Amino acid sequence: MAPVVELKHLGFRYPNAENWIVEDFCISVAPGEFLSIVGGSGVGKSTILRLAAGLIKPQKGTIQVRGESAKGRRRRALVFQDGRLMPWRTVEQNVRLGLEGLDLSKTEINHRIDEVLELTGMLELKERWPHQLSGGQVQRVGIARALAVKPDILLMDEPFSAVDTITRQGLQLELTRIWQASGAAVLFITHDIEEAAFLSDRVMVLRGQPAVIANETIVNFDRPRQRNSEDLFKLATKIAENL
Amino acid sequence: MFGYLMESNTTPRRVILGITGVLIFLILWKSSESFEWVRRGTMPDPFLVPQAMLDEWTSGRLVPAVQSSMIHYIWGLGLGTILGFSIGAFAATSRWFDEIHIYLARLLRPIPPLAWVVFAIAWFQVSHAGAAFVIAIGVFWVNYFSTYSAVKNIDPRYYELAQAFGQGSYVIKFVKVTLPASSPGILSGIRTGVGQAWMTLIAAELLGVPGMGQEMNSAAGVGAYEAVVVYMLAISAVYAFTDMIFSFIETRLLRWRP
Repeated sequence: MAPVVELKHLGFRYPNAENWIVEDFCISVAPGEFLSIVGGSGVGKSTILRLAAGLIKPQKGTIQVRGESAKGRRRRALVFQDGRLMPWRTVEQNVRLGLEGLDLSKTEINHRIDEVLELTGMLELKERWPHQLSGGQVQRVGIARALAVKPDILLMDEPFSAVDTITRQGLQLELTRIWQASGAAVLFITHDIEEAAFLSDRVMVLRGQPAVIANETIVNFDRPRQRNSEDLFKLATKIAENL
Repeated sequence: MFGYLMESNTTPRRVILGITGVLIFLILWKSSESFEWVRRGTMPDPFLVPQAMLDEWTSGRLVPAVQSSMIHYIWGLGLGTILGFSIGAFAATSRWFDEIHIYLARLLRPIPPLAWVVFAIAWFQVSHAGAAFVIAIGVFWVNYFSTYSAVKNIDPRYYELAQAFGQGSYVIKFVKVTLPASSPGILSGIRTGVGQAWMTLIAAELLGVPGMGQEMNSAAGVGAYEAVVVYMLAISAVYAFTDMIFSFIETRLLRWRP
């Protein structure tokens, strides 16, 4: 099946910077796949995600979504590390953000909002302001907002790094359920190898400058996965050796 | 609306202390008049103020003066607010405009609004337009700086968020990010401008534009200082009323804040 997103021979460096963050960098994500990229701080994981999201433009190479040049936004949706809700919008209005300006009827928009809020367990809290939510709830709304645009791929930038361990583990289970229900592919950035092994179909290790894929591991354990299983632990340890 | 505003200010302790403060002020005021702490005949008697108010009302001077002041107040406040907000917001969001206007802003900003009275009279004569012009200048700078600073301080991550969800054009980002994110600073500037406008208004009217300032000047000229106090109280009442309405609107608009 054709990849849902392909980064082809990307080259990128920040203005006035000497070093390339990535150079001749290629990855592709298959439809419905859960791909994680792990790596140390500053290696360029988030930059790759921002490139994939179209927030920054590469100096070299191309980004294709479903085999076409990636223009427009509705097929890729970003989930930010900090949740990033607009504090002046309620939960429902935040989820509405990506649907504004689309050629959809009011009924369809409201239906979609309720659908994704239900999926993320936030329907009851749709009238709340962001400051009335916990860190985990903020992330759920961020995920709901991304899902509302019915993207081909969810781009997630360390979405659970700012929440406590118990909340993180709960959100990982929720994400697995939501991902399976939505059918969207996921490109997931994390520095937590166990998290990557627990969630993903495939894990890539990024290293060096410019960043290169130091290792690629297929995770073919059945789902639902056991967080404390020995196999998962061994796999995470093996991935970590490549960091 | 009033119930909401009174809610936090009506605890018995606050009421008692508040009234006590007013009484102490009245005693000191009356004492200064009785014991001639200032030049004889220049301190109004607080107990004659109610009669003076009745006289100003029945003589038909008070209400027209308030109405006249309100005309240039509203025009000046409206014009100054709209221009200050628009230019401040544009300067903060457009790099080339920011660079092209910055020296001019630094040059003009220190000039007090009242220094423009000379030109106001030359261009508009002694009229509502002239007074509104002077008021607008004072209000303009307050709103210009509050808007400029509020917009400049918006967390750029909100713009990135808007862009990530397809709300990337200048106008859309302005409506969906710039305006709401900077609204606390902008509203604070508008509220300061409401007060600034009164200060400039009275000064402008002292030069002859009809209104409360002019009536104060006339009353002072014949030693009717109680009447001066009447107009001062009228200004205070109108200002308190406008500020209360604004406070209500501000609270409603910013209900999203913790």
